[in-house]
Amino acid sequence: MRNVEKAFVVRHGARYAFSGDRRKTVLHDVNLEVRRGELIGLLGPNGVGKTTLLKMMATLTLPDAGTIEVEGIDIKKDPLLARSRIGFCGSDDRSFYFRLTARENLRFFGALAGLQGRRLQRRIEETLDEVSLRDAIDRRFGEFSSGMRQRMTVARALLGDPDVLFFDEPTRAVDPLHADEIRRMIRNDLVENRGKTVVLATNVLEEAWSICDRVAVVSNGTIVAVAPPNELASGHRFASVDATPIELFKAITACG
Amino acid sequence: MVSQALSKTGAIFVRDARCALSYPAYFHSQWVAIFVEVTIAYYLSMIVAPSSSFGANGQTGSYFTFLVVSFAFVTFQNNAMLSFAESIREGQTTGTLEAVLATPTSLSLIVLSTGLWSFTLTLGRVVFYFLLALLFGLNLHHMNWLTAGVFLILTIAAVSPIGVLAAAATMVFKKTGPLAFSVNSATSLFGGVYLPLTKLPLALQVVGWMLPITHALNGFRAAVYGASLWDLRIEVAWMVGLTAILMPTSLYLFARTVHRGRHDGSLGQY
Repeated sequence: MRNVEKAFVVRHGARYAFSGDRRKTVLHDVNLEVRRGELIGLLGPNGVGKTTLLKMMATLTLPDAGTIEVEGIDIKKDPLLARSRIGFCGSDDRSFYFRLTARENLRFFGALAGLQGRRLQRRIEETLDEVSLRDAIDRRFGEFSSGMRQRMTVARALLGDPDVLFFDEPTRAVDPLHADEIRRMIRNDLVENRGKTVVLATNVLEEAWSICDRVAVVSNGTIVAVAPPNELASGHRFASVDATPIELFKAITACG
Repeated sequence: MVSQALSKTGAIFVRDARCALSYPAYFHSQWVAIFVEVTIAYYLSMIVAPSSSFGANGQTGSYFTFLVVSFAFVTFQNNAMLSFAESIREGQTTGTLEAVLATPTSLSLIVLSTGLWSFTLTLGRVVFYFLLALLFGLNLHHMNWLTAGVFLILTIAAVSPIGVLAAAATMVFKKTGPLAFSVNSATSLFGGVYLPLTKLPLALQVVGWMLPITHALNGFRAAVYGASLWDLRIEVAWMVGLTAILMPTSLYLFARTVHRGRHDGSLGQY
């Protein structure tokens, strides 16, 4: 019987350690439940394990302990089915074929996501519209600026119209105007209008504060607090109500 | 399900074709290189007398025919050794490997489809090789085309697992240049590419006899001299048997290396 009330569940204290010559525990005792249609932020400074946690959720790394379920599907037992429900927007904005155009790149990744024919064509145009790259559809990816490349990673994650989306710093390297567009698209279009579940890793406090329903604070490889932004901000654990973003971020960084 | 698998395979083929054709100078220079190779084979053969060692079924054969079949067919093995591993390596360095592995696509489809474009290109190159060789005097009057076609398919099937193993090695060791070169050169020598297997010491003949390229070359050379599939049943059986063992083994090992990469976090490292 699948647990379909929660869109996403990490339980039993998920743990992950690099092995081999760089043995190091990156994540430990991670537990997280995400409701359907919720936008949850993973907030923390660089190097605390946000990307590793996101990759673990997206089946790209395997936990050493604990279980992860997407829409009731155990990602270890049925990774292919789980991936069909997931859209992953990584932070590596080079992860496309530089000699191919935006259309050709998305046609390739769309086919691998299971799209075909006219539906694939339509989704390519729709997603490029959503990230304001429609005009560049027939330009080679190698000619794109880093901000455009970042927006392409967002477009790729949206292609298959998945139920659960993981964004790893989607506004990194994007100018403020387009960053705002991406945030609005995630909050308004994906979450509020289409009911998608979104997990957003970010180290930009204002981003987490402005669009997330809840924020999970990641520190030293584990989640130390999960709450709506206003509760976190007013909570005595982190900072006073009128703390500046920098003060708040420092308080969060110091905890755990 | 089948149409989706075909669509994914087609997408990988088109990606590789477009990427390859986007380097026109490199693409066109391959055909010039074939002309140079055929010319070298022609002039080398002028200093070596025809011999039964170069023929098949006891018939005397020219060194030119021997070299042309060797050079043309060994490109399938070279291609398998390089193209699968190069594709994985490129995916590691550009970050596309992780993006591909995040999609709901099976590992065996990803890795096997990776060889499709390069095998198609290699097939085109082999045809061009033979057409040029015909101009230099290659005699294909006795060719058994059915045997030749079957051995072509068997060759691609038998060397594909070698490519998958090379891809698995790249997943683990990241850079495998000298290793791939050594394996490729050794199998070419022991497989009878440069000289007949009978000219090697007995121990090396045994090693050579185990290799798929040896049987691929024997089969195609015999086809040039008119041999039927029945005449070559041992070669056919060996290649089918080897493929049946190597294909699942190589796919299993590739899956294990990807699994290991997911565990130790080295999937996207290079």
